[in-house]
Amino acid sequence: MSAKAGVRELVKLAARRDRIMLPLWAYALIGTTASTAYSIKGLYNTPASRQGLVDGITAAPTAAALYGKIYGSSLGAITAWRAAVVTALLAAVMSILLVVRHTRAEEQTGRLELVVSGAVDRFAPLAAALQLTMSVNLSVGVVIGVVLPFLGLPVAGAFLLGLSVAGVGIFFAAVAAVTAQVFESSRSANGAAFAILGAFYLIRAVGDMSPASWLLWLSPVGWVEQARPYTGDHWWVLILELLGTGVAVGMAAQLSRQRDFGSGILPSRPGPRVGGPDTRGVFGLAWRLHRGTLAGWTFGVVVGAVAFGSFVKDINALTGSSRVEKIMSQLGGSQNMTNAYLATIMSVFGVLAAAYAVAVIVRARSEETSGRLETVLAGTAGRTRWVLSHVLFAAFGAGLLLVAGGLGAGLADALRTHDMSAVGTVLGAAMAQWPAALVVAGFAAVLFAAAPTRTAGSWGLLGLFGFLTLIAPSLNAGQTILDLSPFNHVPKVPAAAYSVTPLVILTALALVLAGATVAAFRRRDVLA
Amino acid sequence: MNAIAVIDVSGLRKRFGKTAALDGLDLTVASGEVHGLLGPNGAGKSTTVRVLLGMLRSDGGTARLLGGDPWQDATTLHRRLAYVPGDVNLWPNLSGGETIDLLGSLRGGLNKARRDALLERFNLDPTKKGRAYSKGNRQKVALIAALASDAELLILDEPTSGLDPLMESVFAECVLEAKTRGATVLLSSHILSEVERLCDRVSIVREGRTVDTGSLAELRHLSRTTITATLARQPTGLDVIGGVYDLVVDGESVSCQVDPDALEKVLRLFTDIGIKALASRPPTLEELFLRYYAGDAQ
Repeated sequence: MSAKAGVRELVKLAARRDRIMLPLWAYALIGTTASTAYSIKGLYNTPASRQGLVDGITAAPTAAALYGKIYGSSLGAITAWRAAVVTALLAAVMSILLVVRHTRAEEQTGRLELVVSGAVDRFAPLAAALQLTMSVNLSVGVVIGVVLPFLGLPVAGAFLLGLSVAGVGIFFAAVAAVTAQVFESSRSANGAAFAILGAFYLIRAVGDMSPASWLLWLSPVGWVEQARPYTGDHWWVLILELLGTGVAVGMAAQLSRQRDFGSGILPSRPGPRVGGPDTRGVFGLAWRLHRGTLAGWTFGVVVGAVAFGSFVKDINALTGSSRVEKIMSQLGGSQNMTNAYLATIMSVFGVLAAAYAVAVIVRARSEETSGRLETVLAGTAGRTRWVLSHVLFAAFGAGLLLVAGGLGAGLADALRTHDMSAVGTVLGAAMAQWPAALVVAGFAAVLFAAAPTRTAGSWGLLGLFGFLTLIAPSLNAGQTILDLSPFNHVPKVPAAAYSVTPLVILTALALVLAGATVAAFRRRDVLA
Repeated sequence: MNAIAVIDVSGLRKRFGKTAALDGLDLTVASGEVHGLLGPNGAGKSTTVRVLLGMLRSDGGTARLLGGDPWQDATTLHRRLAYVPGDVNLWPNLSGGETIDLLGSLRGGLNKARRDALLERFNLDPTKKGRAYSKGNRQKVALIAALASDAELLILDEPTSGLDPLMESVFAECVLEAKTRGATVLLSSHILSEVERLCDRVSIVREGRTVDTGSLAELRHLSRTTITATLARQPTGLDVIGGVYDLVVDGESVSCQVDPDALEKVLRLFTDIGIKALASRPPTLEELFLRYYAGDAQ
């Protein structure tokens, strides 16, 4: 694909446009792996302490669900367990965003028309986007291979870890190339690619938690685990990743041959001649703008919740060895193990709900940059009502996701244990996350109202909170640092008692942030 | 034309960082008139409109809109006006018909019969999704939504960019109909023929300031008349008369532009020589315009 006219120029153009974003992504990917290796080396410097960690992890199916199984107690094995799936996920997200950004998004704005009208092959934009994304992934993989040996890890495993992570990134670049052909809007192309990524992650999680470990082979996210760096080094898994990528790229090329420029394989259907009752006023508009995304998120959360919920019953069965039982009894009995698992899943749902809220606020900002907000505010709605229409959607959308997650996980558990009281317990645990998600939504909204050009920074804030909540505790971070994340103030229901005070404080903070949002938004210039 | 000012702006200032977008702009629009806001790109037309809509907060000067404060009373004032931006961006997943009705609901209702008639006249397919419309068709969506409302004031910011000539003339008819209904129109534009056809009065803006305002007749009065004549013999002495510009003498044919004060002298000279043919025409808006902006180069 590389000999086509214009590919070189387009790769250069894309690299120039993303000259800030690409190094940041590369840094995040390499940094995740390297810092994991570094902190594990510092925290578990004796074989005994490492064996203890491995036993603890093996006892906690949550860990298997999030990161995969652990296959050995060497420094390398623990690093690979902790970093491989997470870094691969990040690489996949980066690849999807990059490919869609340089293909469908460019086509949608009409900029690509300008490019293709030149002496440029029709497939050049797709080829250039893939080439750039694959090179970034490959560079990241090689750098990981070079860096880890400096931290004392063997060279072969380091390169296998780096390259298998890069392979997942490259595979999802090809997946995004396919969805960019199918859908006419970049939003749908991104959404579909992320849904596929989510589905593969879920298949891997189920494969890691259940006896059906063959499921790992069905998921490219599982392949990175099956490469077994430092615990067998299955190099041939890289061939599997290459084959998968080849199939997807072939599909994308075939699809792109069958469609017109500017359109997708799925054509856009005509809409209604007149507006219905749901397209009235700013609240109607907010509903139309957000409903599709909310439906997608809700579906994803329900699927995930049912999958995780149906394993609650097996938590006890999975803890077999005497050593594990000893650790469990130290924790205070098997019942607590189940509850600890549930509490961790709820933290994940809390961060997801906050991510949805941030997405809503970022969308509100895009209403402003596109100039559409100006058209809306030229009407009678008023600034307060408009900004509230989005803030309330962020707040209640996040709440709906938590209800969906709590009900899904609770019902799945209850149906297997025949104990309907689980539904209430799990739902309550999910709802406890709501105030924390509201605080994140509040920070995003204040940023949008007071420093609109920095709105996207709320993703960074969410990333920080997510890290402090889901990853930092297992890296022995200090409590002062952990306390920065609102999610760490949520009582670990049902593992801990339901304490109301932190929830009230978080809710009050969220309300203050909402008030500040309205006040700041009423005062500032609206600029396209 | 009654004298109540629908828009009354004086000494308006707005800065963006170090650039002064508005630097003491004045604008008065009387009730029931179609007022043209003329100026080159970057002169401050859109910034003025955005201050009037309460999107931007002015840094100085006063602005009154329909008797209220455009920033404080935005919501109540917007009930009485309709706005069409120069670069219309639509919601990609809403159909054109939905967008028109949404915009109508956002300004407190629209006239359904007129909306249907406008869809017909502008020849717009309302079932297409926002992302599928061309620039001209996006513009039509916003125009139909604005013209279908019973607003007292229409604020149109370069509304015909992207429309074909046929649609431009439909637009012109619609503006004149709105005027007949009693609406006031502020039309920011740099399509001079459109302004000439539609506007009762114009304000010319340059670098954030109003350089001239008045009816076209008034502006012309202050400006040069173009004269072409065929005389009995080759004229002499024209170039020494003050107030004669762009003089071209080709044998017995003469063409030049003459200041109002110098008209009498020039015509007397022509009569003395003997006139075979004479044509004079008032300055076109384009000539007026170019004269004001010629100053930019200096």
